[in-house]
Amino acid sequence: MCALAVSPPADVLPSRDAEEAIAVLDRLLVARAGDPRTQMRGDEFFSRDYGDLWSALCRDGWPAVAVSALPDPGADSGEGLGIVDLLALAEMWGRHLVPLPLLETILVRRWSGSGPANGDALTFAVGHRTGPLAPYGNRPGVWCVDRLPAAPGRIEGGGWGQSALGAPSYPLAIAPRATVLDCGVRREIVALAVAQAAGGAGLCFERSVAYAKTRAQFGRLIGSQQAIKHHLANMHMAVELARSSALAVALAEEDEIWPRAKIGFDYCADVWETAIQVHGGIGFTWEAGLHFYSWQLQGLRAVAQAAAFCGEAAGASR
Amino acid sequence: MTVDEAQAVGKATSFGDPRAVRFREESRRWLTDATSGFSRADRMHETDADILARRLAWDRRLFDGGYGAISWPTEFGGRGLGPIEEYIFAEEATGLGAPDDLAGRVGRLLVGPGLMEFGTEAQQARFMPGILGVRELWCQGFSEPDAGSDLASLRTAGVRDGDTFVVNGQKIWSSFCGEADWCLLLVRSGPQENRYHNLSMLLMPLRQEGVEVRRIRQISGSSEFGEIFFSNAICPAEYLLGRQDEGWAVAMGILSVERGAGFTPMRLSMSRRYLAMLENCPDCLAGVNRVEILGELRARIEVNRLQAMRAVEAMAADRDWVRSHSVLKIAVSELQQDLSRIGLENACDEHLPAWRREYFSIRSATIAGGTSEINRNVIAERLLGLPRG
Repeated sequence: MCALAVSPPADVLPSRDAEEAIAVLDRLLVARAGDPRTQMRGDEFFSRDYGDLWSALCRDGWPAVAVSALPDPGADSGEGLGIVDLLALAEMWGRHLVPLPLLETILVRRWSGSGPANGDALTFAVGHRTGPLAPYGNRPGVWCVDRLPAAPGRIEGGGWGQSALGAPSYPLAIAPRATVLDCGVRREIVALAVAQAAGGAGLCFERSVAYAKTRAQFGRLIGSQQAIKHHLANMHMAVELARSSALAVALAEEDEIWPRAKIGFDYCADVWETAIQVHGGIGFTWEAGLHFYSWQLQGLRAVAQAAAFCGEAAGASR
Repeated sequence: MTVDEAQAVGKATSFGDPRAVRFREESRRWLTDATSGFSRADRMHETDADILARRLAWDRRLFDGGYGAISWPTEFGGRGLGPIEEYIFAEEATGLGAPDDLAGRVGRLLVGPGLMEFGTEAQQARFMPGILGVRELWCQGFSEPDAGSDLASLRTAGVRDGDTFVVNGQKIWSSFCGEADWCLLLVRSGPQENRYHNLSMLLMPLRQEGVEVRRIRQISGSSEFGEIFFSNAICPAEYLLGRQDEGWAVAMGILSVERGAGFTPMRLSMSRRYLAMLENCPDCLAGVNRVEILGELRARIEVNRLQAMRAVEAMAADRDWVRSHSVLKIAVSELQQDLSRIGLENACDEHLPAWRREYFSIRSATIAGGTSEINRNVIAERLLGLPRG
């Protein structure tokens, strides 16, 4: 049975401390992986070795940043980041396209207490119609837990196939079976996926604004044309509403999880499509790299939809 | 106001703040009694007069209960609380069936805050009690037939003549002008070429010769709006609000209040009322995927509600509020319109007239108080810093 959803009254913005910590991590990512606002992600970006970055993240304690006292991990005991803070973290993470299972590891640690060791890269698998999808599950050293919440065991085996739903920044392996997840965990998986997608959409939006301020046609900047302005205003609204959708998921009862998430993903898709339109022919090139954000969005959506509907029974049977 | 200052005077700075939680409980207790007799069930066939009478009765009940001006400073008769409490109260009140709107809305949301910021002590003493107690009703005289979105091009003249302003011209789209005693009136007092420095804001008495009000019948059949014609109407100079010829700054200051969180809870409440109309009638939404449609509408309303709460919390904590108004205005008004269309297209015979009225009525949501196009320009130019065309 689903843990009772948190309904307002609760704070709806991240704490100032969390915002500061997230800004620090953002700067670390910019330093190690480049600024996504100005440096396009390309094939080379995704084939780099991020082992050093992972070590740095672990050294700074990020995997355990949301660990709270069991047995009610979703209740945000006041230690570490709460769910609203985690949404802000996921938004920032979603901008960078760094192919590391940081959010998955944080979620597993959040719902499994002190079980896994610091440094372990962790993930879960959600039952999808094409097979259980495990983000980063085929990466060496990543272990896929068998149930949450609990001190988890692992789903053994190697050489899992890749799902076509995965993205360069967000690879999806097909696990032999799904992680058994209770509703509280699934709600957070979905909420963080929407937030991560909203972050990616926000980045596409910012790149579009910057482009409209520099690209000239007919002797004037395209951003001075009302048609483009209204595209960009709509993108701004959609990014904001996608962020609120993630929050709405985090506060949802079980049957409300997917309707709210779907709205968020739809907004993100609108933003991405408009980003291509505003960039014109440039946006259509592989070199511009905008497609990696849609690719990530598609993977996140698949995982979120699967997580929203794979109840405990479904997880056990697949 | 900083977070520390807000906390020092007892205002909640977030929705999870214990002060906010207590305030929600306190207001819910009061509202449970106060809203009895304001059932929603009989609102399908109300006349304009019924609606006004109900709103007036509600306004006065709010005043008597001490909830008339939650976020006004205590020296002006308010509770001295903040936007979080204001939002919570509106949400709780409309959830329990209170009217979506106030008869004294123009006074409460525009004139009162305008007097606090720009008024003299004498003006405050003269007008604030009547606004708070809803003994005097106000309307807004900004728009003109040739000055809608381009407000600064208005032409109604207010010529200073010794101790008075002599007013000639025409205003339009004034809510409540049929009932109002006073008008917050923006007039041209200086030469045309001094754009933005040639307007003055008057606290204009309407009950006089030289003022004629004509109601405008709207597509919904209602007549909430009207036109006001001024011919040599007189406003005492002591009722000039702010400095002469600097009325544009006064108007912008006041509109930034109007564009605060004030209307969003009302709009969301209307959306929930629409949803309830669909949920409560088994014959509306027949023959379509009812469960899915209702689920999607519920989710959309909740997403917009959380958007509003994020904005209000940002405002209360002195964070990035200014980004939020235009987004909320566009998003929630478009949500209302989508809901009304779903209602219209799926109404049962009994409810079709009510839905048609709502569908027509809500067309104004994307026009009044700043069109969606102007709001998109505001987002593009002021928030995103795009060049003016």
